[in-house]
Parts: sequence; C-alpha cells; structure tokens
Amino acid sequence: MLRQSYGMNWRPRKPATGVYNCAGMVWASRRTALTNPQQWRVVLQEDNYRKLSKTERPELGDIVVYAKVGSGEILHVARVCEIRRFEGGGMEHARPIIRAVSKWDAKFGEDIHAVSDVFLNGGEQFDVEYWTDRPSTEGIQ
Amino acid sequence: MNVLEALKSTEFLLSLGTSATASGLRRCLQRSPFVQAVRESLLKGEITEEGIRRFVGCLEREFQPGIQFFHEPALAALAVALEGRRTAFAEGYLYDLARLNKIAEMDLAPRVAGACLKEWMKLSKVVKRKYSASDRLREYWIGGIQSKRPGSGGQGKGWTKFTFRMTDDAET
Repeated sequence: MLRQSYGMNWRPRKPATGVYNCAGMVWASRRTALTNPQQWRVVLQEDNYRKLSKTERPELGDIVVYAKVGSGEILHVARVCEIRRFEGGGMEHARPIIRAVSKWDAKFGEDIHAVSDVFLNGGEQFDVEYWTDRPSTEGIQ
Repeated sequence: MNVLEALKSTEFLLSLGTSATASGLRRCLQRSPFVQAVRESLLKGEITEEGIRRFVGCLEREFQPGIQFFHEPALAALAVALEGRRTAFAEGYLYDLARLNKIAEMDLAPRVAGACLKEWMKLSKVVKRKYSASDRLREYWIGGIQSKRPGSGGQGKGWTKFTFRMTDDAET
C-alpha cells in the first residue's frame, strides 16, 4: 500500500527488514542501524568524504545525502547505484539520470529509485548533496 | 473513526512517508493532523488518558518478539501528542517508551519518545511568566509541577525561591 502510494517508480531490491537503517546500509555493511544523524556528519568528515561541487558528476558508489532545507540536518542517506547518460542526438551534455539504492525505514526493505523520487518525513523539503571518497579530479588535466 | 483508532489506519501511515531519523519523524508527527486530533480530543475530554492506556494495551497484544512492531508509528504519535501535557501519565508513557531504545522490534518510536521526554522535562522545570511593572518586589517560586511549592501544603522538593525587584517590564 505504501509503495503504491509514493513508490510507484521504485524498484524493490530487498524485502522489508528492521535489522539496519539507511546509514547502516551505507556505512555498516547492513549489519546494524546507525540511528544518530549527527554521527552521520561525523562519519562523512572522519572518513574523508568530500562533497561534490556543482560541476562534478557523481559516480557509482557515491553517497546521496538528503539534507533538510535551512538547517542542513541529514534526513536520509542512499548510495548511487545507476547512472544513465544520454548518448547521441545532441543530448551528450544533458544531465544524467541518477538512481540510488535506499533503505527507508523498518516498513521497507531496499528500493532503487530516482534521486529526487522520495517522500521523506511526510513531505519535508530537502536538498540533495553528493558525497564521495574518491579523490578530487578538479584541476587535474 | 475514533482519533486513537485512526492511528492504526493506512491513511495515517501513508501521511508519514518514510522516516530515517527520530527527529524527522517527530517533526512530521508534530505537523500531523492525526496527532493534532488526539491532542485536541484530550483537551476537550473526548478521550482520556485511561483510554490511551487501554488503546496502547490493545496495540501491545499484537507485539511479536523478533518481528518489527507494526504499530510503532502509533506509539510515536502518542508520544508527540502527550509531550505537551504536564501529567504523571504523560511522563510515565514517555519514560516507558523511551526506555525501549535497545529493542530491535522498534527503532524510531523510543527515540521519538526520548526527544519528547527531554522537551517535557524542560517545560516542566521552567515556569515562564510575563512580569508587569506593578510587580515591584515579589517572591516567585520556580520549580517542577509535580510537587506543590513550600507554603502551599507541599514539601516543595525541587522548588527555588527568587525575589525580584522589578523596574520595568521583563520576562524571565
């Protein structure tokens, strides 16, 4: 029922499980739940993740951070799992379609979805940030 | 439909979307018309704390060890609805639910209750009052609402006396 309402375009990857949460999927090998979102920022800093600039394109394995508009509080994290780039027809410079795998909450398992196709906290507004552990390529020729 | 029974409904679950964090779920519930309805019904006396106790008892019967508790959002919603009530029942409910933060069957509701309990305790410790210029020199007692202040029949545990000399309008 929940999936029919706001997950019509999600592709299920795994049935519901309560063992881990989104951060547990991203950082703890699906073994546990990391429940404090303030610690997620600490993980991003201490594990040397960096936020992608507007000009950098995300790659497979990068992390999608959904941050609350205004406060920047992390609402959800997901991992980039699919990037579709347009080829031919003059569409080479179009923005690629990025899909991510998410573990929502205990009612859900894992789903693959377009990055903006989410319904967090009853419709809370969010910004999408991409974070990566790849070295920066900016300035390298 | 009874405002409590509505917390078991699909409409309520759908309205929440997905929540990965307790603070996010709490904010969502604070905005929720379902929670608002519970709050208002309590204020109007249409439902009672005893009714909530019975309702929660019914939910608990569906609890199965090792399986994610389906009615977790309803428990979290009640925590948010009770957060503003200065009653022993509200305190007990929040405390009991917050204590369950280690069980695997519920991940967010105990943390929502923990946040609500913090707010509850903060509000119950501080009595705010707008002072007027006419309150030139007065004694004020600041403390918890659970016990009566000294001099009014209570033992006054947790109360502190302040004497203010007011020269202008101020707010503490």
